[in-house]
Order: sequence, then C-alpha cells, then structure tokens
Amino acid sequence: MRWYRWLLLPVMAAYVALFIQVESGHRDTTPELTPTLPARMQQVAWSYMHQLGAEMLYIKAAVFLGGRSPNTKPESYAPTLADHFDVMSKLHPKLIDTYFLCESSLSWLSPDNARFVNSILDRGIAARPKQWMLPFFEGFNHWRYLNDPKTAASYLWRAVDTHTAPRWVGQLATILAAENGDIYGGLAWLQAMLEKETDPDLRARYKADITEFRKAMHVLQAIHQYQKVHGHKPAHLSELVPHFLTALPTMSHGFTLTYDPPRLNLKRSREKQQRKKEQS
Amino acid sequence: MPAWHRVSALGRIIFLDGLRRHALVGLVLLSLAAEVSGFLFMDFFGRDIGRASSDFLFSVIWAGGLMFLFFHAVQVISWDEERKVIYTILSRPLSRAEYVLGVFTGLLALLIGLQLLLGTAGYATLLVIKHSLATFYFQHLSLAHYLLTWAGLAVMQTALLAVIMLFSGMVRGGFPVLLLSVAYYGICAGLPVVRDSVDAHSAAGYLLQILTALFPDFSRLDFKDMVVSNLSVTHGMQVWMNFGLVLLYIGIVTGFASRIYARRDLQ
Repeated sequence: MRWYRWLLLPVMAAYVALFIQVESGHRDTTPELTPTLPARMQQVAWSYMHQLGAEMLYIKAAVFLGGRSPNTKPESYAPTLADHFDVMSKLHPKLIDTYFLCESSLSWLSPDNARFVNSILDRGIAARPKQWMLPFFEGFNHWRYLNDPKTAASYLWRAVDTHTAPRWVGQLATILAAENGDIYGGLAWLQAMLEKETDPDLRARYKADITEFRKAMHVLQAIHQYQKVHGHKPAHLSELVPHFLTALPTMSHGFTLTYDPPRLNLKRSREKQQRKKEQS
Repeated sequence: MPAWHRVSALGRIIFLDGLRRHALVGLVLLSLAAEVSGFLFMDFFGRDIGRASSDFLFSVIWAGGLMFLFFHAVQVISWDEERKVIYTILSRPLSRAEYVLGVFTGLLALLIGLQLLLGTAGYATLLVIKHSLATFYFQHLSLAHYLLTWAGLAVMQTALLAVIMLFSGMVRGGFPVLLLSVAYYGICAGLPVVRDSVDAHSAAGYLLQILTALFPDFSRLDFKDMVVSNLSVTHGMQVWMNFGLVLLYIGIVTGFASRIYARRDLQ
C-alpha cells in the first residue's frame, strides 16, 4: 500500500491548491439574490416551521442588502427582492422586521415599487393592527412617492388610532389633510387632539394651528357663499373681497393659503418655517 | 396481571432501550446545541427579536421531535421483527394489540421526555434573551402561551407517532414505514394550503374537507404567534375543541393500529 501513500500526498496538495483558488474566486464575486420559491410551496415545505422559513428569507435579504456592491443598480435586484418580501409577509405576517426592511429598501425606487410596498404593508397592518409604524410608512409612501396627501392623511390617522403613535403623527395628519383641501377634517382632528392633550407647550401649538385652520375655514365659507350667489366658484380669492370677506386673512405660523379652483389648500410652508428658525 | 400492567411493562422496556441508544443521546445533545444557537440567531433581527427567537426555539423542538419519529420510532417494530424478538415477547401472556400499545406507550414516553427537556431549555433560553434586551425588543413572554404552544406541538407529534404505529402494523420493514409516514406528513402539511386555494363550497372543497378528517390540519394546534403576545389564554372553545379532535384522532388511529397488527401475518 506504499504507492497509495505517495499518491495521497499530491492529491491532497492539489485539493488544497484548488480549494484556495476556488475560494479566492468566490470572494471576488458580487453577491446575488437568488430567486425564492412561491409562498404556498414554502408553506408546505416548512410546515410547522413556516415562520422560521420567513425569518431565514429575511436574513438572506438583509445579508444581501448589506453585502452588495455600492455600484449595484437597485433595479437589477428589485423584482427578486420584492418576491422575497411577498413570500416573507405571507409566511409570517406578524414579523415586523420584514416591513421595515421592505420600506427602507424598495419604496423609494419608483412609484410602482412604492405601491408594491404599500400592498405588503397592508398585510402587516392586518396582522399587527397595534403597530403605528406600518400605517405611518404607508402614509409616508402615499405622500412622498405617490403624491397623494389625502390618502397619506387617512393612513396617518390610522396610525394615531392605534393609540401607540407619538403625538406629532396626529399633527402631521391634519397638515396633510389641509394640504389636500380637507380643512374641516383637519380642524376637527386638531380640536380632538387639543381636548386630549395635557402638555401646555403642545396645547399652545395646537391652539395656534387651530387659529390658522379657522382663518382658512372662513375663506372656505366665503367661497361657498360666493358660489350660492353666482352659481360658480370664484376664479381668484380676491373676488371674495369686499362682499363676502372684509379682507383676505394674513396667515402665520408657517401656513399659506393657496387657491387652486375649486380647491382651497392650507399648506405649511417650509421656507417660511426655515426663515422663522433663522430669525430666532 | 391486568392488561395495563403488561402494556406499561413493555412500554418501560421500549423506553429504557431508547435511553440506551447513542443515536438518541446524540439527538438530544444536537437539539440542545441548536437551542443555544438561538443566541446567535437573534442577532440577525433588529426589532421583533422575541418573536424570532421564540419561532426559532419551537422550530428546533419540532425538528428534534421529527428526527426522533422518522429515524427511531419508524424502526422499533421492524427491529423486533427482524431480530425475532417479537416471538419472545408474544410468547408471554401479551396480545398483539397490547404489544402495539406497549410500543406506543414507550415511544410516547421517550417523545414527551425529549419535548420536556427541549421545552424547558427553550423557555430558559427565551428568559435569558428577554433579560438581555431592552423591553422594546421583547415586550411579552407568556408562560401560559408557551405551555399551550408546547402542548400543541406535543399533541401533533403524538398523532404522527400513532400514525407511525398504524403503518408499522400494515407494512414490513422500517424504510417503507418511513416513506409512508413522510408522505402522510406531507399530505397533512399540504392539505390546508390546497384548501385555501379551492372554493370551500365546490365539490373539490367538500372532498378536501372530508380528507381533512383523515389527514388533520395540524396548523390549528400551532400557537407560536401567541408566545410573545399579551393576549388572554382563554381563546374560547375552539382551541380546546382542536385539542380534543386530535386527541380523539390519536385514540382512533392507535385502536386501528392494534386491530390491524392483531390480524397481521408475522411469517
């Protein structure tokens, strides 16, 4: 058997050399996100352990996102990543980490991706109705990526309804509602928040906002009166003066009133806020 | 000597024989090591750490039980037949039905012992994880829900053990029993998924509903999601009815296994 011993040494040396070569090549390759099997198939395969299956997919997606090259175009992996989130949220809808990773990695890519993320978040909201971050994310996507402040406000209100959201979410919802012309809704919400609030600073801020909302509401009522008399809405707000309003209100606290017939919008101007900050 | 004494005496032999097997000792050590790796697993998660850890630990307990069932339990009766031990046992005042019940009792004691050990270690691991984290990441750990989940898991695997006893009486050899048991487990796992995708009021829907009586929907006893919740334990009658249903199923299958083995040609 001596010849075998002599043969074993070069075979082992060849194995070690080839192993080092293969491993060094492996280190240089760009990590790829391999496709995942459909949720139903995984549900059967994992059976009792289907939650663990979803968690393994989460780890796979997180490791990929953390290890990918900075030059990798998001469009190249977005569809596969979206499939992962779809399967994860079906296998284990209660796992909150899935929604955080999905929101941070996909929603900003395109409006279609934002819509897809919202569909995944809907699953999370159904499974974890007490989690305020999920409707908040969906509201944010509607506002930031889908240009739909009205729906955004409705999701922020859902976040407030969980009774776990910070107080500023409610205020944000009123501002988004007013931005989309729902001044009555925003005012009612602010008044409800004022009644519940005990912090004197926040109460003062809500009261200031309510004053601005009331000014906008007076203008809105004047527009309705104008419409009753003339049969149509005014082309410009200046047409309301002096018969329906003595003067157009001067807005403060960063709010501006814009009229885009037939809609009156109350917006919080970031420039004015910025200027105010600089002055102070 | 009453029948129960004969059954429990055989059960004790099967239990002690199992404890002596190095493969089972290895399985226990492997499962415990896997449970300890829960401390590494939790590091992959940023928020729902309690839920992910609980899922992981129950998956380890489930996998440990499945390995016991598919690599040990499926072979016990065929070992007795291959080594002709069955003739020695049956030459005693022990009927074939009592033999099947005795083997079932011994294997059940081993299975429950394994689950108790892994369940206790799993709960201890969860407690350590909970105390090592800020409350935000692991808000609730309910012992009552943990016990409920553990009981659901144990009842599911007991049903699998009863079915293994049935197949062991129907066919010869450990490998065919393994194939049949895995196929049965696959059908039980797949049937609820198929039912979800079929209209419940169609002919196929009714057929699948009837098939669920033969291949129970074990997911109804899966309460993992509740372990880290602050819900009340009393979830209505539905939970206890599901337990009752599977326990009756175990009784029926074990009864059939005994009757079939009593008519089996051992030659």
